[in-house]
Amino acid sequence: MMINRSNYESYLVDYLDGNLNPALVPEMEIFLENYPELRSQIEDFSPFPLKSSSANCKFPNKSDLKKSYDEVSVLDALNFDEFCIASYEGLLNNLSRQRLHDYLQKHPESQWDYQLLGKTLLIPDPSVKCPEKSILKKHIIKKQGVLNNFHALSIAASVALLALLWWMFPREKMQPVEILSLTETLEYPPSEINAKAMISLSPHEIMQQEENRIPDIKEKDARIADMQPDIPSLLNPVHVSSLYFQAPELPLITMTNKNNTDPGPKIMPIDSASPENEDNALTFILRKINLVKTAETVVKGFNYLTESEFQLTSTTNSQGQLTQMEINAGIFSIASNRKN
Amino acid sequence: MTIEEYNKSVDDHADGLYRFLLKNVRDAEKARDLVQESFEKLWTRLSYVDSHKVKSYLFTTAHHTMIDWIRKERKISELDLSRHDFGAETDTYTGLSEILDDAIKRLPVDQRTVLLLRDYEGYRYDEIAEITGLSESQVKVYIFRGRMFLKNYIRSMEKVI
Repeated sequence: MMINRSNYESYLVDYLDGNLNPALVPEMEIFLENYPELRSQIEDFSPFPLKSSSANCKFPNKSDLKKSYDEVSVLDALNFDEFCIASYEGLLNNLSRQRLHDYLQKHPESQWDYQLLGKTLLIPDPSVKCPEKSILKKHIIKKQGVLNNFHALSIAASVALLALLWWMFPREKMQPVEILSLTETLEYPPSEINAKAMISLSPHEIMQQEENRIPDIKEKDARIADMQPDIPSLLNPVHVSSLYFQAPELPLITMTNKNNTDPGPKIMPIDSASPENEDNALTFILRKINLVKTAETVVKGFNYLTESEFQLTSTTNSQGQLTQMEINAGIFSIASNRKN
Repeated sequence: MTIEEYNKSVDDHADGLYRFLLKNVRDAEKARDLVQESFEKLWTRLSYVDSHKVKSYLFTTAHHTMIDWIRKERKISELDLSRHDFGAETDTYTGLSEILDDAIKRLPVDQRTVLLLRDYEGYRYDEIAEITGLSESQVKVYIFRGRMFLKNYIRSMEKVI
């Protein structure tokens, strides 16, 4: 037991103030039970509202001490500025305004000062808008037991996008391609499907890739099979400066890493032969779908499900035909130009 | 406060908050960051903030965050120093708004803040006092001093022009 007759006073003060360690409160109460004569002392301490009484002690009618501009006996050069500012601040009543007006009539040289103070009123420029205001907003993800149509559609669209990307990349090891130079475009011929892709790596990235490669392919005619992009690497913007895809009956798709200042290669359209793998269900579906509508749905779906702010921009020609489509996704900007 | 009310506050107050911060920190990127930080703080306190007081909460938070940033960047001493040498500069001005803009930059941060809150947002003295943590009397004094400084600055520059 910590509290005893010799030290109880310091604990008692805290106890009365309500500041005693909660673990010691039961001990203090037991102690007071054992010493009822101290209990009576506590009752004497109780009405000690020094703090509250001082806090409530306020000067009565404080507002009576305050003065208005009417009560200023003299309006002269010394308090002229104050009157002017009070006038612009809307603090003067009719009487004070009239006094100021009379003063200005008597002292025309002061009118310039009065006008100057009027010019100090700051006016906000409404054309200045907060950029990227939309990212400040929050979205509600509705939790539902059963997926509604939009959910289902969004998920389907997202899957379709991933499938599209997967389909665009060869699913087997790429054919070996020679690195033309550190700054040249690398071309990846497809294997069994007719989609082709080009990848541009910045010189720095290529050198990094070269360093990571095993020694036997670290030569000029090095194979780049190991550099074949897969979906995860596509999502990593560090290694790729730009990507170009060409697939049958699909527009040329360019994907550029906006963080990379490397100008990148020229767009090199690749001729595609007719697909022979018609039995490929995915290929067949992709041929039938409307790419634009799919993209719109995908973007909406992704934005809804992931609270992203991807922006889809479409450009049409004078006949209303779609000529260009771009998805701005932060790090990557995906642009697709329709072939004529 | 609901999420809908929160999103409405973005529509209603983000621009005003941005203008207020931009005039103070004079760095678009930083002003945008401060706006985002203020709304993030509001978001974390969503259930505690009354929707009727959201504007006041945002400006209070933005003001405090801005002051923290200014202290961190040691901008206060720079700004205070800069106001003493305005006569030595040889900037050329083409109009009042440029002069005023330059003068605002040279105001001490307290005076600039209360003037912007007063003129840009139309806050009452007691509201400005609540936002800035100053007393109402201090707010009035800073507004008076701020306007006097601006007036004298405009007068000095108009003589130059």
